[in-house]
Amino acid sequence: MEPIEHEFDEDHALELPAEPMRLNMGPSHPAMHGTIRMVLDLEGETVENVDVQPGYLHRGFEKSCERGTWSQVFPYADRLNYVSPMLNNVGFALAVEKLCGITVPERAAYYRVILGEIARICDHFTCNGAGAMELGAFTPFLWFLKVREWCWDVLERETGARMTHSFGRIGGMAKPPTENFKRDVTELIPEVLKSVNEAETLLLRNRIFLDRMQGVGSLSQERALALGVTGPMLRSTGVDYDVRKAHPYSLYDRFDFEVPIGHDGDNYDRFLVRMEEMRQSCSIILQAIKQMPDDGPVNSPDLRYILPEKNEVYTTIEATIAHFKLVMEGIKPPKGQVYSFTEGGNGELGFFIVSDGSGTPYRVRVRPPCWFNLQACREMLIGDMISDIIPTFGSVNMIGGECDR
Amino acid sequence: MATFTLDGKQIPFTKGDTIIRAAWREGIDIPHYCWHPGLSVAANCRMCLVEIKSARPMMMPVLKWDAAKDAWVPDTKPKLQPACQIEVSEGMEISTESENVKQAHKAVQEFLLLNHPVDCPICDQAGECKLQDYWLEHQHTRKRKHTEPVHKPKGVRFGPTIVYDAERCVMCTRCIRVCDELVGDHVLDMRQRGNQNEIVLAPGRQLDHKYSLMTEHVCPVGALTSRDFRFKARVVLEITARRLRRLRDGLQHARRFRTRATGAFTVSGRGTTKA
Repeated sequence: MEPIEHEFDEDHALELPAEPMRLNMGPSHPAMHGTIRMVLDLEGETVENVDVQPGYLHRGFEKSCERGTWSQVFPYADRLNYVSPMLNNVGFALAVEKLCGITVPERAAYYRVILGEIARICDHFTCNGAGAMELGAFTPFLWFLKVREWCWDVLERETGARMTHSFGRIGGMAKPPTENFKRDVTELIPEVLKSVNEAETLLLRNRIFLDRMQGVGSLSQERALALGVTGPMLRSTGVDYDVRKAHPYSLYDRFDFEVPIGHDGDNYDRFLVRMEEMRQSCSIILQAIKQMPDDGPVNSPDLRYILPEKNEVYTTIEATIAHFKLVMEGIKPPKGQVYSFTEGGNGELGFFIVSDGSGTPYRVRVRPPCWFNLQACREMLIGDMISDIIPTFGSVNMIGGECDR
Repeated sequence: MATFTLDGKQIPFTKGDTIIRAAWREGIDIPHYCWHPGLSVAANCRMCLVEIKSARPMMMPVLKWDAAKDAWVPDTKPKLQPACQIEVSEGMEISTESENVKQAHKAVQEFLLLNHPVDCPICDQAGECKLQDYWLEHQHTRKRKHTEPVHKPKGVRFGPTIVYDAERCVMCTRCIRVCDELVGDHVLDMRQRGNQNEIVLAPGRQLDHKYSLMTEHVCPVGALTSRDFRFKARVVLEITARRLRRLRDGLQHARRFRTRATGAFTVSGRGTTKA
């Protein structure tokens, strides 16, 4: 092709101010997950100001919940934080169970803890692995994803799906653990720990990695608290707030585990906190495996909330009616409202639910941890270089599904 | 206006009102099968039992387990009364939520389901059946009796419009009362007793008077079904269409009609719930 010949009129050249330069980053930028747009004001390569704009992913999650039955919320909850869907499933189930005043059998509770912690490990693997990859370290990323795939294999054997399991039920779990569940998990944990150690040896003595992480994207403790930041991001600033410890739900008061904290609140601390949390999760899982009973029901016996066994449905009228009512009209929690919160992959995952006594939720409001963590992004990015946006935004671990408002 | 207290709420009434009627007028539904606002009182289903706090307890003492003493101790028990039959008096204090009443509701409901066939999947009433609604509201337990249920005639042709299923019947006698009181034709009656109870036709007769479909309309369960509508549509699936569309005809605001996309299958009058 021939070059295009421009004829510049030197006298009337349009002068655009070069500094500060306004630059759009995303939503089509790979590091912005396709769901975030950042409008940057740059002074050279330094970020002077940034406007973080979520909203490019909108499914109307909360509104969608208001037209199905309570049980039909589970697939939506799966897709909040799709990297650790089991934690969302359990979070929602616990909220409705709190409203109904029912508790699940112990076996189901252990089952939930174990699957949930595996999901948390997957979440942290993804975040830290992708963070390293975005800085050019591809090996740890692939090593992490390899082990994450093994985690997902376990989840797949248990639930039937690698992600978005929709496995929680109000009053229990969809199915009891498979025969080899304990063996599978026990074999998985050493691999996880090995991979965590390997990645640390690869990264933590790497000059490039350290330079890009240490002292970058710092967040002070005061600002983190003021902005409602929770999870690993808050803990990296030195606050030891973990819902599992501060407000133990389910069986978390039975396990011996530490809440790792950082002190600078920078990328490096967030990375390390997540690494250590994976080790703690492994420890929780191993304790739970030991304590978990080998048999017993995984569902509450209350027929108002849990479908009866099929053989009962076909032979007794009470179970037939229960089945009919649950399928045609859905479960009916008593009138009232409840806020229930759990430790999700990225922080406090809360569900505020309102029931008008019918088979359909009146309101399901989610407190997604990522939404609040994303708020802090602007302050963390200002003053850093444009290339620092990538690791900082990566270590915030914003999940678009949760920021669906 | 004179009032009485129902579960802590002041309910107005006029002289001669029964508890259930005064409550019904206020939009409060005390569970019931046999009572119908347009019919006489039978008080035979025992579902509407309530506790009248101002009344005296049962004369005979009952034994109650005392965990602290680790022994059975004598106790008194309130005498529960059918809300459909007791006339309200000024200042009466009534509970439909006390433990005794809940226990009674549960027991009555379980009793009515003792010999009930597993028919919901093929029953026209499923979805608007009181047995289903009250199971969820008042019983919600599994079956405890695992012996063969009592079998009674099914699919009995009562006349050109109505088919009767004795196994589903709760013997509320609403249909008998409709024929007696509304039509003045004593064509239905009850025979046998206990779990052999059955609604039967007068010898040599058919249920063929002009209001025969009213018997199906007042039936709280799926015992009487309309021959036109049998097995045509599932009521509960059509609930939205039913609410959205209102059919006006000579009956004035007949509201409930069962429909599929092809149109209405049956038209029925307003239910017994107020407003």
